[in-house]
Amino acid sequence: MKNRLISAPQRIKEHRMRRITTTRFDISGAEVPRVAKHALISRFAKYEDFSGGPGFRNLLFAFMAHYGGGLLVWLFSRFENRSARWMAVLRRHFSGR
Amino acid sequence: MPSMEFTTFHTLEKLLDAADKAAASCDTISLDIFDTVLIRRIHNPDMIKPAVARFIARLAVLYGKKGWSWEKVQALRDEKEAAQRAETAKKFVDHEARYPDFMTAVLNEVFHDQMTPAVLEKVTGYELALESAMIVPRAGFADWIRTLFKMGKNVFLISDIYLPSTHLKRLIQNVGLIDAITEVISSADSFLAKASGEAFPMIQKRYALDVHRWMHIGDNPISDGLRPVQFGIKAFVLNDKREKRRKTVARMYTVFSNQSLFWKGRALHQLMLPLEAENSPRDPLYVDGYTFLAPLVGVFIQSILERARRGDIGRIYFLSREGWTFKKFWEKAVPFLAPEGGGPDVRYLYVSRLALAGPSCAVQGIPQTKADIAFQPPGNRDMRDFCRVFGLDMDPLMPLMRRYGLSPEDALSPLHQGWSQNNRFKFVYLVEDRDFQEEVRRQTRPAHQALMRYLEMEGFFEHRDVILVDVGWTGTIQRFLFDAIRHRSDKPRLHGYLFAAGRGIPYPSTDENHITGVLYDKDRFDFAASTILNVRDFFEEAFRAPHPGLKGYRVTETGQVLEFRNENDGAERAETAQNAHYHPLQQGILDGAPRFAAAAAVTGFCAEEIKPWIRYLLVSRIAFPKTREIQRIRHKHHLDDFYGKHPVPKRFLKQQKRLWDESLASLRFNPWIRLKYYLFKERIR
Repeated sequence: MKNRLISAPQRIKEHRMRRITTTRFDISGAEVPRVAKHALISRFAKYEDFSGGPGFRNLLFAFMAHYGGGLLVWLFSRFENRSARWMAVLRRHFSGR
Repeated sequence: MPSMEFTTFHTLEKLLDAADKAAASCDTISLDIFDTVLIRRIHNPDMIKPAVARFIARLAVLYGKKGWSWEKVQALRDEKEAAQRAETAKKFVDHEARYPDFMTAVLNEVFHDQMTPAVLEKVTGYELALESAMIVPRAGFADWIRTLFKMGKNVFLISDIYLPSTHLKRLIQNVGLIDAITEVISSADSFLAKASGEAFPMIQKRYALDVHRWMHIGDNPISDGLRPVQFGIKAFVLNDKREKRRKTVARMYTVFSNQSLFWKGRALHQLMLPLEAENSPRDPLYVDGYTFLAPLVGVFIQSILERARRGDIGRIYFLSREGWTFKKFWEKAVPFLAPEGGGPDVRYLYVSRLALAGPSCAVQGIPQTKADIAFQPPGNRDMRDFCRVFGLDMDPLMPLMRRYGLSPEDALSPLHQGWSQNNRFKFVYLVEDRDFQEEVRRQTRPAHQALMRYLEMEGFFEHRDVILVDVGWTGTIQRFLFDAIRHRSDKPRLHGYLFAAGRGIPYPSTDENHITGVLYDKDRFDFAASTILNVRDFFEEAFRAPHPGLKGYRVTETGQVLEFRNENDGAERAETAQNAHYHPLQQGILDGAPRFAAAAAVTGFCAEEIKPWIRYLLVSRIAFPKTREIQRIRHKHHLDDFYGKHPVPKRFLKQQKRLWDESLASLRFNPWIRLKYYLFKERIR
């Protein structure tokens, strides 16, 4: 009923609309898998090293934060007491030491 | 005996459902401000402090105070804040500090006798501007607060923070909630905080509130849960998992940026992202402008700003028409990137290759290199095109052309049929002819006179050094401009900064006149950034001003007038259609400007540090774009005022074919086409 009040071109336009920040808190059009793809291609094609590049470990963590983040946050919250040791490991990594 | 338990919610929606029901039996609703009603793009609020320290250090330099690095200012701030907290702890339970107090102490030490309330206001204004740029109201809370206030409830926003309520009100005003609340209460005013629970009795006494009809909402289980409950207030605590995840992502990129250069730009880009209600669905072109072009222009503008900071630059001229977008971006970025002021002022200069080509010959004539520029666009073929480009009347030149056997129809560009080496010789002899040069000078003198009047009106000769900002690519506009003014003793030194410098024609660089490509310069090897040159027309269209192109300068009795293209001719109508198509793209660029600048100020990254991420953006969006991205972003019309109307041979067009000119079918179904173009066909020229 609601859609009938909107004209067809308007509906098409709204369908094409995009958000800048994706639901995974990533950048629309520059998502982590796209970064990973270019890091991988450039490793073999040697067209650009992006000043050292993103690095495998950081890419993996970025992928986990964006794509597995919801699950990880839920798990750590659900088992907060038991996950203390794992949290310490992660904190050590994210502290930049 | 009231219940000693508070309720915890893991999503905002569930909390709002429960709070809405509970609000029916309450007259007063108090909410914690930070991490509840307002969230920050940054994961750590202390990230604002180094940016403010950098500002104070730059301000100190302007005031002639030496030896104040930003690290030293930051250490002093920490020391003064800690001292005040220790002092407060002697009289109060909470160890609170008050921003105006400790910041005055810091500034007194830095500025001594030059310290005035105006200096404190400048620093406070900048800190609050950065805070404002980093905070976002949670959409659900903002709507709910407005509804409650309309229902006649008391709505208090409370925070344990060093900013007094007057400062907090400025932040609340910026997010549009100041008219929907009863009062803002800060622990910095009374040194009674939520953390100890002392704030609640104080508020109850001051506003004569009924604790049994009072509900408090916040994110801290102690300050916002246990303490209000102990005082008999109903409390809801928000432990939002999704928000925690967002902050984890922001934190992760900040940590990555300390480990590797590549992630610096990505971390900055993360802080630019819109959140909550800001992140509404947008036209895809707007998204491209915001996520792709805004960081590119941001780095370009930041580089120019860093150059201008060296102190010798008197003024910055943004050259029409692409300079229009750059200037708008500059104006939105400078309050964050250079708030201390004292830098060069900026102006927009109406110029074009076509308008400057003629005046540039009025004193020096036309040297051969410049004459050949007329035949660079493949659509230019003969003397008619040459005369059109330099604004010459061909009839007085005909006897001179006949002297060397050159007719108006003779092809002078090797791309066109009929060209011969002999024609080239005739043309070279003609250009070397003194009478020809004299006739050129005579014809171009009025336009030159008009240009000089225009430049004087714009104060072009008032400074010793000026920066000229343009999109690129060979620096022809600057070359012509310098030729037009080189005879004057008061001419400024021209420092040209181009978005990208392709240097198709070698530029005659001297100390007085040089160009530098910021994102790409052919003089520096940069494979990834060279992709800009493959889509020059796209960048020109994306940055172009909405006004018509400049045709020339004309002398009048009272001064001079600028002559623009007729808005009703076919080419201009096509441009108007293109402008309408790219409007969301340009809006995205300009909306991204303050966010880029605020993020750059907070992270403190210089332009060079952001470039690896910019290179990635260029490679992924220009060399390896998705088919739908090309389909969407490819420009529809492009007008080159230098370009003639002669049909270009097919073999030449085939050679010039770029990835973005390929059919959508090829782009969609040929898996190697992007790699083939990038590695073999579009290598650095």
